[in-house]
Amino acid sequence: MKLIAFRSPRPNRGAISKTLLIMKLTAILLLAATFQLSAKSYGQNVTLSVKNAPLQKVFKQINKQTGYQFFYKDDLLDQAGKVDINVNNAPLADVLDICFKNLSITYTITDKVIVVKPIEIKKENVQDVAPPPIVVTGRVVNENGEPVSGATVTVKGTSISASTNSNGVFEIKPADANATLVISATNIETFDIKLNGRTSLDIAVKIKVSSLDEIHVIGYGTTTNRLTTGSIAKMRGDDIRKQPVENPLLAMGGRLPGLQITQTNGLAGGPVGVIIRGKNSVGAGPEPLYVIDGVPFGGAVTNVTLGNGIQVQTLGGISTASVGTSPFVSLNPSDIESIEVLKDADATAIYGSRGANGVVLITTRKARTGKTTVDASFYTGWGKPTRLPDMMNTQQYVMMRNEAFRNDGIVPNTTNATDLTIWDTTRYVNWTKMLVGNTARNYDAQIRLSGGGQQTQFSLTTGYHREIPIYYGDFHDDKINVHASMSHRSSDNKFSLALNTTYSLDNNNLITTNIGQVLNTVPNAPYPFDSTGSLVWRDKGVNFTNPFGYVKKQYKGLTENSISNINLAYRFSKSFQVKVDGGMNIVNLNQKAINPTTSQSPFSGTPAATADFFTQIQRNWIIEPQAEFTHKIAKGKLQVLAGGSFQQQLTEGTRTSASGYTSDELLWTPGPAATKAVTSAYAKYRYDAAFGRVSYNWDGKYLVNISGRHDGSSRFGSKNKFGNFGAVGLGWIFTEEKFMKNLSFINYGKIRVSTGVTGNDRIGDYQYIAQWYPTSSAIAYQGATGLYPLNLENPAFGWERNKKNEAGLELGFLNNRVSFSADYYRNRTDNQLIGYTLPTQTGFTNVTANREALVQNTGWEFVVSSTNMRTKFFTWKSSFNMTIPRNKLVAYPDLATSSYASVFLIGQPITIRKFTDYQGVDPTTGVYVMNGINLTTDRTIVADLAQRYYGGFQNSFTYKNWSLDVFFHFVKQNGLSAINFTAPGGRSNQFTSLLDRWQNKGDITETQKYSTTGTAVTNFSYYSNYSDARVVDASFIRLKNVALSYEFDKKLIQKIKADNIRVYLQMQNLATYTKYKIGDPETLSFSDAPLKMITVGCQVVF
Amino acid sequence: MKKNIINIKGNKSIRNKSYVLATLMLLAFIMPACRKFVTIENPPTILTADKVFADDKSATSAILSIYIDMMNDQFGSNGSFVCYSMSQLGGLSANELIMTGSNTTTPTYQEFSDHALTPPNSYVAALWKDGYKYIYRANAILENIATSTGMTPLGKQQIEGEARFMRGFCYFYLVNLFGDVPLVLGTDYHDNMLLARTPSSVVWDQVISDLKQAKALLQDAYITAERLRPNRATVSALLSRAYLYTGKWSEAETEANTIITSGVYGTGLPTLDKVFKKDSPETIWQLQPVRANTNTNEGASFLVTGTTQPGFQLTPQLLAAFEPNDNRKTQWVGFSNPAYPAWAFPAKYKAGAVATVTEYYIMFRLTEQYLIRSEARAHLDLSKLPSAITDLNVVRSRAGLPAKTPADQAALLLAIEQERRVEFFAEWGQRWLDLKRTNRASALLTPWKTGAELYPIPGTEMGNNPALKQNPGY
Repeated sequence: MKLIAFRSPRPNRGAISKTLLIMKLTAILLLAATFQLSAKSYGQNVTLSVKNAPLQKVFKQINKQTGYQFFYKDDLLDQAGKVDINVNNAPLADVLDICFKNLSITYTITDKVIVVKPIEIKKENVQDVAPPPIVVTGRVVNENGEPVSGATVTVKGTSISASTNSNGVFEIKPADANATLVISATNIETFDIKLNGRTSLDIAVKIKVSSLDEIHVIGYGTTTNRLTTGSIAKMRGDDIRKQPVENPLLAMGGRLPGLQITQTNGLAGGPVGVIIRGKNSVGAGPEPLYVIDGVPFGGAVTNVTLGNGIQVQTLGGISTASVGTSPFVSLNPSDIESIEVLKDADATAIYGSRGANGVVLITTRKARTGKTTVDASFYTGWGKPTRLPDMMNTQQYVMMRNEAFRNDGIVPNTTNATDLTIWDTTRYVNWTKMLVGNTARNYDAQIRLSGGGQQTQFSLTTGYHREIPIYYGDFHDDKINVHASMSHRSSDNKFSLALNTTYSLDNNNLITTNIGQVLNTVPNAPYPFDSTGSLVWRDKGVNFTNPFGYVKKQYKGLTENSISNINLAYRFSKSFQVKVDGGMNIVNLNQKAINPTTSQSPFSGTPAATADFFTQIQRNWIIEPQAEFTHKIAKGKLQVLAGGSFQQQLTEGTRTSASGYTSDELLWTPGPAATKAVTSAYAKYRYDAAFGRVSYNWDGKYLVNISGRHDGSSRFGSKNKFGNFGAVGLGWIFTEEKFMKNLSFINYGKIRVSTGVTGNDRIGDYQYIAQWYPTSSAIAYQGATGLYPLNLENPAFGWERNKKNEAGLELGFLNNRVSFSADYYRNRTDNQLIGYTLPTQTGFTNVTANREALVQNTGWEFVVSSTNMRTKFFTWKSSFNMTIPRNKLVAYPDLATSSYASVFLIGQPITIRKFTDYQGVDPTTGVYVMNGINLTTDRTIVADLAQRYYGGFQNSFTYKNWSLDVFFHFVKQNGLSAINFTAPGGRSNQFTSLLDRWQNKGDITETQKYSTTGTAVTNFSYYSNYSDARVVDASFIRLKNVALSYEFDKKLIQKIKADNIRVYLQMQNLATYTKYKIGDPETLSFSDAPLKMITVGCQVVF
Repeated sequence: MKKNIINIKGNKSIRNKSYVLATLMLLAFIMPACRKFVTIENPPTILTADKVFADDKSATSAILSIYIDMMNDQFGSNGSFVCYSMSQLGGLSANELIMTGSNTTTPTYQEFSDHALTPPNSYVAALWKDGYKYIYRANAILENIATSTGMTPLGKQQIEGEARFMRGFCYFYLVNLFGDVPLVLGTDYHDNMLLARTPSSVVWDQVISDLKQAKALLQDAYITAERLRPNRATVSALLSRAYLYTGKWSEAETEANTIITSGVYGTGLPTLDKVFKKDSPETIWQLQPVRANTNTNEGASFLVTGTTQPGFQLTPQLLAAFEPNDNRKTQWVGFSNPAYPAWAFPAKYKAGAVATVTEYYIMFRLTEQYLIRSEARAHLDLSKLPSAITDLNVVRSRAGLPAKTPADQAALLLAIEQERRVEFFAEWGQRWLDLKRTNRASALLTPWKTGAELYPIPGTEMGNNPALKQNPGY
């Protein structure tokens, strides 16, 4: 047999052979096209006489006579029709010409192979005057460098068209060398490209921003909104960049359903709390797992207090810090492509034991095909705290103090009231203005270079960011970042490689002390600086703790973060691919805090220069080999993924407390110190897993996704190291059913459900062994150090189990102009793995242990998006999301006799607190009254301090070149009021709101009488610590973001050869509507308020 | 043609098989490696208990950790059980001291002065927590040396003696400050976490039992050059105090007498300026400062420079309690500003935040034993009154005061109370404990609130252990 026939696939044929052959055929076709030689040169003759014969028969004859092989598809010949030929010893070329005349097919000859193919140039081109046909070949890829198959390529204004094959390759023959090609497909934005004489094109197109088919990154793969069976929320990099925030997590507040973001303070680099679908654990932190480009990131932090009172953060701990810097500041928002939040079992089970609190996947921007572009941007901004408390002035303060002493029947004297009897009572220092009255500034510059051809793409970004806080003093935080990305695929598309590497350097010399806490400094205290600019520590013999001491107590925190990952993939066939993902993350903290003698009062003790040095390096690596198999079964597509994961996290640190310096000038290094106390930290964490996922998509209608994972963690004792986790997700796109096709207003509808088990190993390392740790005193005790027990050992604890259930409904109306989704989830966590709180009579405050407690989180999540108006110049789009979370302690065996007896109630959320019943200010005595102060029996009021519902409302408008985004964030919650914990009347300045106080019998007020001692002060302690008086409505609606931008006219900017010039104005936390009286409802604090920022910026793309 | 097709088919199935094979091989490689990979060695920064108690030297480190941390922990953040905090807080409670804030009032201190403590007071919580922290260490040491095979018998004896002494020491303060406290004698948190408060009489019995055993275990001689680790006399010093507090006069007299007559601590009392120096002959037990640039916390915190208002001022009542010409007032009290004569501060320790260490922290000193013997004898019987008065006057004469001759037992007891007041002011909260044990706190201290003799059980402890019941009045 010398003929090679290639038949259309029969249903019983495997998909592999078909696709393989298509690939081969394509390759040969392309080859053939490049060698369009005349058949005459082969000069063999043929004798043939047939009538109305099928081409196959003719070819067989020719093959017999000449030895030439034909290459064709059966159906092509079937369609071409039958032929009449009568030739005698005619040259092959003539015979073929006769044969193909009037047929819709043509041929080419390469060597001794005749390739038969359809005619692509339509009839109107068959004119003698037409220029020689141009053959244009090209490859279409999307912005991720993935080939776009099945796209239609048309020559503009003609009906000449072609379509791209599975590699995105097309060939087209336009008549005009300057023709314009139009590339279109359902999943890409239509793209025009002018040939300008080129015959070979690399075309990068944008993925169509149709929310349904947008690519979502998931664990070990991607999916789309349409086809996912899991619950995934996505934040696009573009939306992050509309907000001038340093920490990308902050940009997500209110934007994604099910995700609760809280800013803990207004400091640059401050930590951000992230809770996905509620708190699952009665004791462990709610932090999700963070994965950056496939590399788990040590997001959880602990803090350490240095000798000068500054708290700094360390990595790899288990508790969240309320002060200090977050490692996420080292992530550059402008390098982020997207952040995906995986919420339900279906999406998180592939992360097995670490998916309990949800997973945050951060994907950095990748290299893309296309012309080399330069994208430069710059912004600068100004900021003020959103809400600061009004403090009393001197007149009000002195009045309060005098009244307090009068109420107490005490005569102020030079011992108990130096502020009234010795200090000038007319002097006024506005501490709020002095301490936090500056305007915060930020500056940001980024430049990005990207481009590449079909096989290799690259991008390079570098940027600089600076923050200057509102505090008095020379403080700033500078960040430099470099991001490089390279991808390559072999010309046969079998092998691909991608490399991403990020390095950032954050140089923070911000004050990390919460300076808001000293806003209560008495207002008639001395002016903090003397005539020479030195700090004042005493006035008329009375000590003054100068709040500006912090200016001299400097801090330098250097955080280096490098994340690299490499993905290698080899595609053995269209259906089978092997991948290895490897990653590395090195975080290096180098923090120094000095406590010079100038920062200390010379009048209380002897000032001594000391310094602290804290270094910590965390090295993570991860290797994940994977195999992927795709197979068509019936009308469905089966995808199988199997893989393994090996991870190590090694943390080493040293803290040196140094003292005995001869000069303040030498403080920045430990060398000159006479005395040093050194503590070392070391923790190794290893983690491995085998995981798999099987998904089946039947006809785009029925979706099944099953995933499982077998995990091992070094954090458990030898008997409990391994755990099994898994999930099943099902989806039904019911609009694909015939009975739905008639409903024209609804174009997309899906119901999905998922269930599964995930786990949690977020506890410290080595908790299963009893550790004795060396003491850390600066001076040894008679030359020896001590050894002390560090923890309570518990070799028996094991994995926490988190069972997640979810049901979702997704709908698209009016050709997806309106989309709606609703999710209901129910997550239950048992075998709670916690730092179990213990009474300190056990010697420790907690022990790592499992508890039988069963905690349930349920909730509804809604998203509605719509295009409200779309005209030629104007569009208006809205998006609204809301989450209604509920939490409940379902069961807790032996609660009554546990450490949590006074904390929790069965059937109530674990976010409750119990309070004594506040009854107001007694009109007779003028003091706060609680209905009992016995903490065991009188805490009868139960208040839930969790967010009741939260969400966001986004409106985007574009008009010609203008675009405007307005985003509101809303939260319904009760919270504790922010107060000064000194009873009003004491030597501490108070809010002006406390001026309305009890003075005389019969007064009805909210503030008790001013007092310095006695019952009033005691009652104030109960009032402020235990009563429900502090539970107030802390709901708020915040105009979180307004972003206005203008793009210059293309014609105008082409004069300077730019592709795009955009200028913008962005405003963050612009306005807040709340009943919360003192301080900020988001941070629930009077001393930490988020900043109101206004930024202006410009972006130029060449 | 057919052959070719068959070939292709054949290739496909081979391929498919090989994919499955490759995947299986991948899994086969992964699975057994899993267990080994996540089994990690112990970190190099720590020792496990079996290693700590493998020999005398590292076991000694375990007991040293208590002394070191008592001197190293900063009160307020980590807490430092009794060291300095008892002087400061006990001083406030006994109306010896008042805290004068510079820019803001500190309610946590003020509550002590006002006898208006509340359960959230963080200093009360620190006292409780630290007491039990060191009790845990003592218990862990006792449990581990019992099973240790590498330690010498002599080493075990020494460490056990010190651990029992420290456990007794911690319970002594806990039972005095809080009354009934949970008596924790082991390390297993399952047993300890829900322990209710043990009647104080049982706690006192345990204190005395531990001290008796410690006395039998420890040597007369100090095992180190300086008096930095408790010896037998140290145990006697606490034992005599414990007997005094529990009204066991004869036992108290015996213990005090043993120390006074041993001759180790001098034949009389050294001059006032020597008492708080590191080589003071009257010191029975002292702790070495281990913090950089610091002698004692008392020195660093109480002393002020120049004409500044002290942070902790001595009260006018205390100043008035000194008899004229009491050298203790001139040598142990500092005055900072003549314009405000009330600005006085404790100045027993003279070294502030300086690197050169001249003062150690005095835990027990001989003077107390004279006053204990005096008080015990005063209670015993009339025949001992003269010797009791002699002991009192040993202390008075060192202060430059004339001898007192109280006419009867009641007058002598008041004279002893007065002497203790001016001798031990701002020292270890002695006055606070004295007034409580003699039931005179409510009469002598103002403002007073019923039940203020006992500090409240910290609110967090109440929350974390449902078996705890609050003291009356809170």
